[in-house]
Amino acid sequence: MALAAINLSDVKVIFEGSTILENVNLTVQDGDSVAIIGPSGQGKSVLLKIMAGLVLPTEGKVLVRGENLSEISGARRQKVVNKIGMLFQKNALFDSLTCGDNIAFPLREVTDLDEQQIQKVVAEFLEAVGISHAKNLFPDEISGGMQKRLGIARALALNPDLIFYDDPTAGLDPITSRKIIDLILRLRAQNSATVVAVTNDMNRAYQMASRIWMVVDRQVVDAGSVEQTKQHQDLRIQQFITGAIRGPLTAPDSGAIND
Amino acid sequence: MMAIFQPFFNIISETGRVVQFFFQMLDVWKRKSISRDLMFEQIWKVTVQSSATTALAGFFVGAIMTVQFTMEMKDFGALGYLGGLSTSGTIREVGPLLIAFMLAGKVGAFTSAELGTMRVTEQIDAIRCLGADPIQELVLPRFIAIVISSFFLLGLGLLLSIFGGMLLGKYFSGVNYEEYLRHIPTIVSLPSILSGLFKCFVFAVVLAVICTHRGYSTTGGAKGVGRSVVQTAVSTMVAIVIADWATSLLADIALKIFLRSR
Ligand SMILES: Nc1ncnc2c1ncn2[C@@H]1O[C@H](COP(=O)(O)OP(=O)(O)O)[C@@H](O)[C@H]1O
Ligand SMILES: [Mg+2]
Repeated sequence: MALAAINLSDVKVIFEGSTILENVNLTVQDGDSVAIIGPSGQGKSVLLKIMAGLVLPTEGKVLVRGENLSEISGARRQKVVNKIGMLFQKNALFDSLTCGDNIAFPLREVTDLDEQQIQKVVAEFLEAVGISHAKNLFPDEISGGMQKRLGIARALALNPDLIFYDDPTAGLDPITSRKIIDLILRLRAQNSATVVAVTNDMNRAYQMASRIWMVVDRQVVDAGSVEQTKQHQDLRIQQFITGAIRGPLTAPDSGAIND
Repeated sequence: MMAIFQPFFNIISETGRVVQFFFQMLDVWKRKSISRDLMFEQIWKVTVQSSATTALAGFFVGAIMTVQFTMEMKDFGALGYLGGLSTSGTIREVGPLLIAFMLAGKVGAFTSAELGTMRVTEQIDAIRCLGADPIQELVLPRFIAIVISSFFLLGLGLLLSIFGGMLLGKYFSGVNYEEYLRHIPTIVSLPSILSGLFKCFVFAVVLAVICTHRGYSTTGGAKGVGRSVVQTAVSTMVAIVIADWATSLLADIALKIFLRSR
C-alpha cells in the first residue's frame, strides 16, 4: 500500500488548559480533495496547522508522507515542509515586501535559482493568478480578492504536492469568491496536487471536494463523499449543511454555536 | 488563598520561558548565519527612532541630579564637589535605570507590537511554512540590533547627562564649567564607569530578550497584541530593577576583590 499523504492518529490538542481537538484519526490519500466544514472557533484552522507541522499535537502522531513532523528536523524536515503549500486564513502576506517579493521569498529561501530566474517564476505566478499589474505594489495597497490571489500564488511558488487552503473565500463577495474557487480548481487540474480546504460555503465544498470532514465538539467527523455527506446520519452534519436554526448544534447544552 | 500566590507562579513560569527562549535564540545564532543587511537595517531603525528621546531623557536626568545635589550640598559649602557627586550618582545608578525605562516604553513596546502583529496575522507561521526560520529571519536581527543600539543609546544618554548636569550646575547652582568638571575624575573612578557600562549592557540584553519573546509568543488577535505591549513594558521595568540590584551587587563584589588584590 502506498504511503498516505497525511495520517493523524489519536491526535489531541490542548491550548492553555482547554482541549481543542481530541481522538482525531484521519487519513488523506494522494489525489484526495478534502473540504473541512464546521462552526467557527471549533478548530478547523488548528487542524490545518497540525497537518502542516506548524502546531505540534499535545498527544498523538501526525505523519506527513510517513514522516513525523515533530520528530524530524534540519534538511529532512525541510524536504517534507517544502512540499506543503498553505494559504492562511488572514493571508499572512509579508506587509514589508512587495507582492512580487512575497512570491520571491520562498524561492530565495529554498531554491538555488538566480535572481533572473526568480523574477521569471514570479512573473509566471502573478500571471497565473491574474495580478501581474500588482508586482511592485505592497499587499495593503491591493483589494481583498487580490490579496487572496497573491496568497495562493505564494503558497504554490515551491510547487507543493500538498496544498492547504484556510477559508479561501471568507470575507469575499460571491462573485470574487466564485473566481477564487475557480482559480483553485484550475490550478489543481494543472498540477494534480492533494488539496485540503476549510470552507463554510457548502456550494463551494460540494464543487471542489471529493471528501468532507466536519470539525465539531472537539472531534473531526469524516462524513465521506459529497453524496454520503448529503445523506449523513449525524444530525449535527445535517443541521450544518442545511443551515437549520434548530438542532443539536444550537441546543443549549451543545455550545458549538451560541451567538 | 492560593489566588494571591498565582501572580508569583506566573512570574516564575514566564521567567522560565524567557530564559528558554534566550537559549533557543543562542542555539539558532550558533547554527545559522544572520543577515548583516537585516541587522543593520534594525540597528538604524532603533537608533534613529529613539536617539532624540534618549538624549532628552539623559540630559534631564543629569540636570535633575545636579539640582538635587545642590540643595543638599549648599548648606555644607561643598558645592565644589557638585560635578563629581552628581555625575557619579547619575552614571552609576539613576541614569542607566531611567534611560532603560524610556527604552522599555519605546523600543520594547514597538518591537513587541511588531512581532506580535506578525504572529497574530500568521506571518510567522507563513515564514516557517515557506522553508525559513522566523527566529533567524525576524527575531535574531531584532534582538542583536536592540542590544547594540540600546547599549549605544544608554551611553549617549549618560554622556548627555553630564552635559545637562554641567549646564544646570552653572545656571542653577552657580558652579562654573571648569569647577564642575574638575572633580569628576577624582570621584568618578574607572571601576565605576565600567560598572555603569556593564549595567547598560545587562539592561540592553534584558530589554531585548523580553520584548522579542513577548512579541513572538503573542496569542489572541489584535487584543493580544495590546496585551503583549503592556506586558512588555511592565515586565521589562520590573526585570531591569532586579537586574540593577544584581549588577550593583556584582560590581560591588568585583570592586572589593579588585581592591584587595592590589
Ligand atoms: N495559538 C493558539 N493559542 C491558544 N489558543 C488558540 C491558538 N490558536 C487557536 N486557538 C483556539 O483554538 C480554538 C479553535 O480555533 P480555530 O482553529 O482558529 O477555529 P476555526 O474553526 O474558526 O478555524 C479557538 O478557541 C481559538 O481561540
Ligand atoms: Mg479558522
